Amino acid sequence: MESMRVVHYLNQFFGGIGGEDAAGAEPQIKPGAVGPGRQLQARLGERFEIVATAICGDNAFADDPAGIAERLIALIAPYRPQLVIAGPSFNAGRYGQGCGQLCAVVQEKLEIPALTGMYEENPAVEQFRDRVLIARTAGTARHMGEALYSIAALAARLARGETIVQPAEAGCFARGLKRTVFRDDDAAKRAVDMLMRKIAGQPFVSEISVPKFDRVTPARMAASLANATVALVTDGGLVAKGNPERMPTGYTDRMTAISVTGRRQFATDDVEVHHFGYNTQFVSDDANRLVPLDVMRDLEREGVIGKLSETVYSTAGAGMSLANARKVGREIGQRLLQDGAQAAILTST
Amino acid sequence: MGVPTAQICSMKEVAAMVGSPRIVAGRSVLHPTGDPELDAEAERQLRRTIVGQALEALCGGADANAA
Amino acid sequence: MRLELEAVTVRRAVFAAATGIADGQLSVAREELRSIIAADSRLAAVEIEIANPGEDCRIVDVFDVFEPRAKAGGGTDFPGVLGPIERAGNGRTTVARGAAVVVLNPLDDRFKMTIDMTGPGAGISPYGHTANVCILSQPAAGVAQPAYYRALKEAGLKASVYLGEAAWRAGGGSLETFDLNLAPHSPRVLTDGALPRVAYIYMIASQQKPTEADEPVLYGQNVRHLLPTVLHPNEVLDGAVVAPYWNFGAETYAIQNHPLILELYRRHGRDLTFAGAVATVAADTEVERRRSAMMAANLAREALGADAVVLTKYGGGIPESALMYTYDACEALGMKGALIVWAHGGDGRVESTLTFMSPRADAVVSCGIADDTIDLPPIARVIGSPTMGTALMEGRLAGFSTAGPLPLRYVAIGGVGNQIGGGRRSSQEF
Repeated sequence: MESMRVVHYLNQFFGGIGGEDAAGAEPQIKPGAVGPGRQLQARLGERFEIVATAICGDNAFADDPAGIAERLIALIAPYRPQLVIAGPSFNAGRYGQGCGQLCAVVQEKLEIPALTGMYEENPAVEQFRDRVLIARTAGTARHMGEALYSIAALAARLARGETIVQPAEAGCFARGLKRTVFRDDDAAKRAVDMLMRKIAGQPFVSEISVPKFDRVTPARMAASLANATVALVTDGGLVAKGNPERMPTGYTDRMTAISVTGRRQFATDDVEVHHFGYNTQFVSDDANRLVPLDVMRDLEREGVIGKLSETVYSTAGAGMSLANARKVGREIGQRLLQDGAQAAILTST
Repeated sequence: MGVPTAQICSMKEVAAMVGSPRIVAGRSVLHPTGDPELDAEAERQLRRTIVGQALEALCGGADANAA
Repeated sequence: MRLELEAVTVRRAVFAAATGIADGQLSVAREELRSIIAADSRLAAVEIEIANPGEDCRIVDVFDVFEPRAKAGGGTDFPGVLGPIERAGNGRTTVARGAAVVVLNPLDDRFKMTIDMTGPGAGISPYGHTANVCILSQPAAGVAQPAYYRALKEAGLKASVYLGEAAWRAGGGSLETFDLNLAPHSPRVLTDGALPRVAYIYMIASQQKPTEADEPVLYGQNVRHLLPTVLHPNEVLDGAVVAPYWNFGAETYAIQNHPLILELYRRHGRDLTFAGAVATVAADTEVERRRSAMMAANLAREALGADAVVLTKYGGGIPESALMYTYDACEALGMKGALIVWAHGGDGRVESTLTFMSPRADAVVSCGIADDTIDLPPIARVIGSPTMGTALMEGRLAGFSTAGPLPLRYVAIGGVGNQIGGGRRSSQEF
């Protein structure tokens, strides 16, 4: 049986080029196994052959992840690998980024499996675990032996053509994704079974886990309210009359900007509401029920706030993915800064 | 450098779950800053109260869930 | 309360001179049924069609599905909607088991279902396996949408009774008995060695789309501001609850055959004591959701004496808040809880599964990713509109031929989106 061709990726340090001083090293490739690659080859056994080792400096990779990955692919491809193994990078952030990036691009461009290993606190875990199989390792290279042992075991499974259906059960980080499956029993029976186990104090596995979200440090008011420009933002689906930008009613990655210059309040011939997640009748009748323009104009005139920002930003928050919400949020945040807004009131349905 | 926010919403627990720092209760999912069952004057007063809570929250620190 | 369901088996339906059931065949007198439905002046252009299991046929525009049932031996069918107010859930009801009444809605609406009688769509839908008697109509001139929808609901119920009466005339069905005495009891702790008392907290509607003034949900009431109320499970099975117009795959048929209630009945006296049900709605305001959660939990604990609860929801968004509040309120009173929910697909990540999840919700069953799609292949015959409307799936399928291949969300397949315990479809985190 012919052995499986593997290309291994290492950073400048493990690749033997140098330490932090060599972190700018350009992509390069050496035939055969290098450094920890020799130990990896021993773990993999004779069914695998490390045919080449690709190496790049951590800083060089971090400065241009997409470009470097592209160049590494060009170096790797001629070796016709069937599997790429990167790292392990343990808790090294930039190295982890490089390993994750390379594995992701290898899978996409070369259409072969790729595999790496990291410590749970490596930021690259969060960044790549949805796309890349990442074996759990300890925090430092002192544990190289065990890390390579797990990676070799996974490589053997991939070599058999196996798909790692539940990465968490294979010593890897869960991808954090979900998929449709059909279970043996209907939902009613499963729910009562789960409840009976819970009552009896026996172990059970919830089919949906409690989510964890990033935390952003909240900004604080820099000016007094009476001097501040305050903006209005909504996820309730407000659009200009006739919806000229064809804003969708949900599942969107877009926002729309609505000028309120010269308007004391919203009227039915100014705006419409498009959002599939709730009955928009009441806010269509009077959009001030969704975005309180009339009251904000009063407060502006009375001097309670310095000024109302003249652009309202809006999106439809129905069925919106977190990634899209982050994108839209970032865009609106940037626009608010450009507009000189010092505070914003968000309204949500 | 960011923009401080206060969020008016009916599903406060959702906003809290994702980490919204200043949360003010809206009237309803169907009309966060109004109420069609009130007459025009009372509705405007309600809206002013809710917006006032949001402005008050903005002036405070984070997690100053006003109402 | 004691309910007897006499189930007469139906395997296929045909048009015939007279309506009746013999040897698993449901004969339908097409013109007689048509004229019963068409007698309602709110309806025009009434037509009756049949679709049998295995047929190369697709039913689109599905508004609601009903199981043919009649209390022909005495009692009121669908009290509060078709007949006067009377207690449902007692006495004998005859069922044409294996048949279904499918009511179509030709108006463009976001919540219309599709039923395939063959292929992958039929495989996952309960209505791919029933002999379906379909009712098509148009609103009569000048009839507005709410009045038309009310008429559609009544049409389905009337057809259900009409075919249920055929089952009663045929007789000789198998008998299922639902006998449950909710009283007397008192709350107690789970240490006396007796079976745990399990109650069901049943969200029967959501008000993020307020129900219409005359939309019949609970004994004909619109449940617009329903406070939690104790229901005997038999009432649910026997016509007290009718699916709202926006039914999300929990059609009236699913309620009549409520999977979770049937499961709790199956296990009653074996590993649990079925303590009864509490009906709730998801309200659009925070204070109403809080009030409902508190009262539902208290009814389960103090009125039903429950040690544990199963909770289900209806639709998505606000109902997730309402459900989680109620769950937390139950756990706070010392009752263990398990939940059934669907998962939102979102960006595919686990964080986007629910709009809101209590950090204490540790026993959650997933009945599938609502917005995942299934590819339905082309089909020979279509009952309903020739093209897809603009409302379903945010217009992405607008203008598609209904006979052609259709990439439909699971929730748009009849009987598949229900979150009351039916179906093996689920989601898995990985």
